[in-house]
Amino acid sequence: MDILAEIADGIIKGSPGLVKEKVEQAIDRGVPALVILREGLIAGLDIVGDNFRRREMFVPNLLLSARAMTMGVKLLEPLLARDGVPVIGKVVLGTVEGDLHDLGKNLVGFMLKNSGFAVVDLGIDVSKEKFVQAVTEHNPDIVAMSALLTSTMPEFAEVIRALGKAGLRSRVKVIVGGAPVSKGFAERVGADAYVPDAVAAVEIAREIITRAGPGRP
Amino acid sequence: MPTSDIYPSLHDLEEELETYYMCTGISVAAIDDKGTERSFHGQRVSFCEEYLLSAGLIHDCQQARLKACKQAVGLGEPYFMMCPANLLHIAVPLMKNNIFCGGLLAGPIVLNTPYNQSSPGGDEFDQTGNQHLAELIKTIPAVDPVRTSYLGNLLYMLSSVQNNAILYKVKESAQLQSQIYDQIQTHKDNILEEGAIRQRERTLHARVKQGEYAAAKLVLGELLALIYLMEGKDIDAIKARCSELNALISRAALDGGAPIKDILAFTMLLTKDLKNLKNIDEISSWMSHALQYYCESITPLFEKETTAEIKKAVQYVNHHYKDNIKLTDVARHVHLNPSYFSFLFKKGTGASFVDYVLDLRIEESKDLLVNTARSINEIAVAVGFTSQSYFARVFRQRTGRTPGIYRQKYGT
Repeated sequence: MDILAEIADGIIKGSPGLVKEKVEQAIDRGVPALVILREGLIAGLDIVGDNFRRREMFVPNLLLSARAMTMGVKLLEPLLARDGVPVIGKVVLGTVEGDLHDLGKNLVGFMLKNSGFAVVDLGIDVSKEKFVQAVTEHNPDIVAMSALLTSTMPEFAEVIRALGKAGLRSRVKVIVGGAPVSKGFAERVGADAYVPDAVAAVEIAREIITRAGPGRP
Repeated sequence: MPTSDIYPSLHDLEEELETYYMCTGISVAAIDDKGTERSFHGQRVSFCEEYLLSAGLIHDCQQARLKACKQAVGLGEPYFMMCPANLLHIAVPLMKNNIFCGGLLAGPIVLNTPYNQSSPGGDEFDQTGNQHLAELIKTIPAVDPVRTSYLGNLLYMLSSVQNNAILYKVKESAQLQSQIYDQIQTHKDNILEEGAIRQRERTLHARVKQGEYAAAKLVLGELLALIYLMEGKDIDAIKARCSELNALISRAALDGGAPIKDILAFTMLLTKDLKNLKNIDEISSWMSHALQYYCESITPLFEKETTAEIKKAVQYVNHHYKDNIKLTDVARHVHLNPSYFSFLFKKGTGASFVDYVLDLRIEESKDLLVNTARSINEIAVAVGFTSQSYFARVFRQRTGRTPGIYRQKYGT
């Protein structure tokens, strides 16, 4: 099995130990960190997701895989973080209030950080007040929100409304994502863009920055 | 104190919690709506405190447990929480009259896989290299993910005893919603046509009529996804379509033998509710509730004075009426003497076996006459008749029209 498939396998088996061993091997062999991330770790996570939807895996399996993922990302982080590279934009990121799920959000944060964005991660269960406060404080280009529960998805609209009330809405672009979120839903709640996955998040964030031009919105 | 008013009587819970712990070996606690522990069965472990101390972490376990239980309300299923010490806790809520009043927590568990067995607690933990902690963690039960998942289900069942049907309904509508989102993803790039909706409506009608709730739910999910995609942001148009759909389901329930009084009363209630719905999630949940009620209202007809055998027989007939089934076959299927079965069947369903089967066949044939271009002979055979002339005769007896005229009048 090639090393990337072995890394993916470690994610599927939910073994931080296996992932650690194989990622370290891959790094030693000179496999680029971004390749390890996308074709090893994320590829494994995609399979986990598919197995879960087919009910061949259970929620505790996801937790194990998430833990293995965190291990892999931790090892890659020092390789990807590029000091001295100019920051191309700033993102305030969080999982909405009432929702405790953070795997997708963390991945997005990680990918953004490594693509030249400054990321302010507010964590999980973030109230609209906290989002507003963070925007006031950090003056980001983008607010990125995540939700995994259908019951918490409406929070997107709440946060966007709160940003509007605080007079901040026109200063930021809002992007949303999460397993149950769709493009149509994103539009309905008044978000600027829908993000289907972590890789797309980077592309969309870049596009937003490019469109806004160097002068910032 | 308001808390104690809404908290379920702990007395009822004590026995359940004790049973859970004794059977599974996993400690279990009950907390109230402030996160305060009200009951505990199991073994206290000192690992957590020492781990947090050694890792220099501060963690509000009480708040985390409370949030986990609330999260489970939104999920409609157990919430699996990984704590900062990398231990798993299973959380389910306790509800009273639809109000969150606390929860049950099972754990801690060391989530284990065949690949991690050498290092319970995970590799992050091993790196601390603390021998004392390594000993302590051995006192915590290690469980594989699949069994953990079932431990969650069991805890959920325990809480359901308290929660009656409320959470079941939340789960039903949460399931439907996630199915709808799946469908939206599948269909979002396709060109949508009314025909796709019509075709599924017919299937939905047939499933509801036969009281096949699970199958009907799947079709409903598809239909709602299509409707949401077609109508986009127009909530009023969505409501209009759902109102139509609701009429179709109630009609199907009536056709399936649901009592008209109940159906009308429920439809009135539903119509009132529809006006107040604000978004598609509320509409989905409303439709899920409607479907469940209508499907369930078909069964009580048979439940009043019916034995399990007759229920089983009715299910068998509902599935096999298109085949050449005979009373003796069905009687054998439920292990009853044919003449006694015949008597019980009529008592239970209000119709003789033959009438019951013929009704089903004629109803199905109406559907095919109106919605397909198949020949009358084909339809006769498809619904279980051996000859077209017998089919035509029975059809006329029951509807007052010949199949051909019926098709002309109602066909598209």
